[in-house]
Amino acid sequence: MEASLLSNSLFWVLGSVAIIAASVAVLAPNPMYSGLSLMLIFFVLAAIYIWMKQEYFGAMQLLIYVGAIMVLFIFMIMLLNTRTDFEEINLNWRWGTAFLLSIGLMSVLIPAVVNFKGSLPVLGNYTENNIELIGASELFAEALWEKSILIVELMSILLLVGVLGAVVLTKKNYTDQI
Amino acid sequence: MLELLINPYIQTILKVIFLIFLVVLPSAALLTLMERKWSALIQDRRGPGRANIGKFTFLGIFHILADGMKLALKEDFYPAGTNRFLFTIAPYFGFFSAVTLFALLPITSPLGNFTFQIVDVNIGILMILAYMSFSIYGAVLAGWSTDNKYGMLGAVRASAQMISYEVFLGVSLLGLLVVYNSLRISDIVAGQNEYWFNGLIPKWGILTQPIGFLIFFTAILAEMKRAPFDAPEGESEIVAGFFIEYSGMRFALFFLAEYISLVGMAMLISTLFLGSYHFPWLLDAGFKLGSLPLVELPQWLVVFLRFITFGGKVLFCCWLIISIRWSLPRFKFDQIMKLGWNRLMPLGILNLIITILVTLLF
Amino acid sequence: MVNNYFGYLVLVVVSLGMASSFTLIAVLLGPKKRSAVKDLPFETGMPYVPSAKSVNVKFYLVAMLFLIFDIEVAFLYPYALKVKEYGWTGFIAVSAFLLVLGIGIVYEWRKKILEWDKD
Repeated sequence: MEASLLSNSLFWVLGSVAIIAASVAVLAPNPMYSGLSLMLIFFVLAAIYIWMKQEYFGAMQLLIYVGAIMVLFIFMIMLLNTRTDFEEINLNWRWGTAFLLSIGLMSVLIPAVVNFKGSLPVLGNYTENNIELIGASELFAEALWEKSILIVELMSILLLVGVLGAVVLTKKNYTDQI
Repeated sequence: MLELLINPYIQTILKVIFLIFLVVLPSAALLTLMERKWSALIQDRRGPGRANIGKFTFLGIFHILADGMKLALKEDFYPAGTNRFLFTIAPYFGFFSAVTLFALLPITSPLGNFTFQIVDVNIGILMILAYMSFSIYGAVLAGWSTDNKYGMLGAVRASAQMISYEVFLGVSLLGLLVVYNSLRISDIVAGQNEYWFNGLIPKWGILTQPIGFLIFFTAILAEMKRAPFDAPEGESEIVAGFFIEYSGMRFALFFLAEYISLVGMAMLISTLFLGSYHFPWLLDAGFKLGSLPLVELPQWLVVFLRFITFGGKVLFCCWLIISIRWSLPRFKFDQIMKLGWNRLMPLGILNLIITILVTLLF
Repeated sequence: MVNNYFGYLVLVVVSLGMASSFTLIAVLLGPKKRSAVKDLPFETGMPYVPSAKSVNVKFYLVAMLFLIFDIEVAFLYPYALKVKEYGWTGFIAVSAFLLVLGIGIVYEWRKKILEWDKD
């Protein structure tokens, strides 16, 4: 009882941190602040996954999003000639597009939240029982290397294309500079 | 009172306090002195030993106190054009990633139901890798927050090096996962107390995964930015790299985090590759070598012996890392990158393939 | 499950608490004597030039390589745990995966993009 109370309030704490961080990510004038709050969102999301008993999702969220993708973002912000340049960028024309897009998103999300009653049924393989019985990483192995092996192989080719693209782009830029 | 001690939450808090404040921080503080003493020995000079209280110097232990007091009383300085918020939080990331590493590392075998490990989760190794990546943010923010060119160079170098070697760290651990078949740290630890040839040779990580160990150890050195991989803070070219503008207690945070992570990485190497707390042939019930009869020992003694063993292994790893720092010259940055991507990465994949083949054939 | 991760929560609090107490000590105990010259960023004695920060594009490439290979390795973790179960079929599948990964490394190697002194 005590434990469940703790874990329920944990969700509200994590959720509000995520929302605050999301607002900072959008509103912050400094791109580094936005990047860091985005990282905080990913971190909190990982915590929420773990709270939902999906440890493996949480670990992958930390490993890939916080540990790799956000590092790339922060790295990019650092590599650009920041500090001064960003203050000069005029973002005004984007407000309209952003406003329309968020209206569209809200028109889907708000009815979903309002109409939500009770709890959703847990579907698929990743139920609490299955994870305890089989283990999260084993379930993932099954999903990746048994059921969708073709997609995994195609993924590797996609990632290879990523390597080639990065090499070609940087190589070209570099010779242009000289 | 006794009920409080059985409560798992209270136990966890006690474990954290014990581990961080009674084991890790004192050993990190002692290591700062040990590094200076050891470097002095290697360079054939006397290390620090002057600080005293009255006539007592205690081999220079008071230097730690003197250092701490000196750093605390320094000016709280930040140069013009500094983003103060980022400047303040930058060292937190490195400190955070150094301290959270200890969550998963057991210091000795369980005594009854009580484990000497703060958390033991299904996905232990992934959590270790994930939390390790937080220190990259520290380096980036420290260099970027001030308007200093050396800081910027150091930050770029540090982050490029750390992200590269994180990949090799992951690759080298894949072989280990194949051998011990689990992501859980306690399973890997238990797997290292099994034996080949009817109880003669222990299945330590270093024996099952020799190539993996080499890659892992190299990657750990690079992750910690210690020599020979200290191009990010090379004092002869970019002065101190990303933490160039830090002084006083803010610098102390970087300094302490470096030594805490030295202890942590030494513990990680011992846990994953040097058999963790296991002493060869010391089983849960007592000594047993090959087919010789068992010498029985009480459980508390076994636990204590294992604690000593683990301490010895960690100390050995610390000594090894410090010795490497004071024996090898610094690599150039492009050499670091080439060593990683062109040597360690193919070697790591080769190691994985060999490990899979051996596992499937035998 | 949350019980398991409680230790992480404690460690986060302990580490951030310690770090911020260090900052607090610096702010409270340290003297503050600022001057215009002292405030300049440290440039080893050279006159201060406002920064023109531009970074070699190769660092971007390293970051890109890291991201791609990190994701590839993440795919391999689940397989590494079930090597025996998947047997030789799994070996063929993972060899194809590693082959593609290897092509990426060989390409990067052959293009000499990490040999910074050569171009």
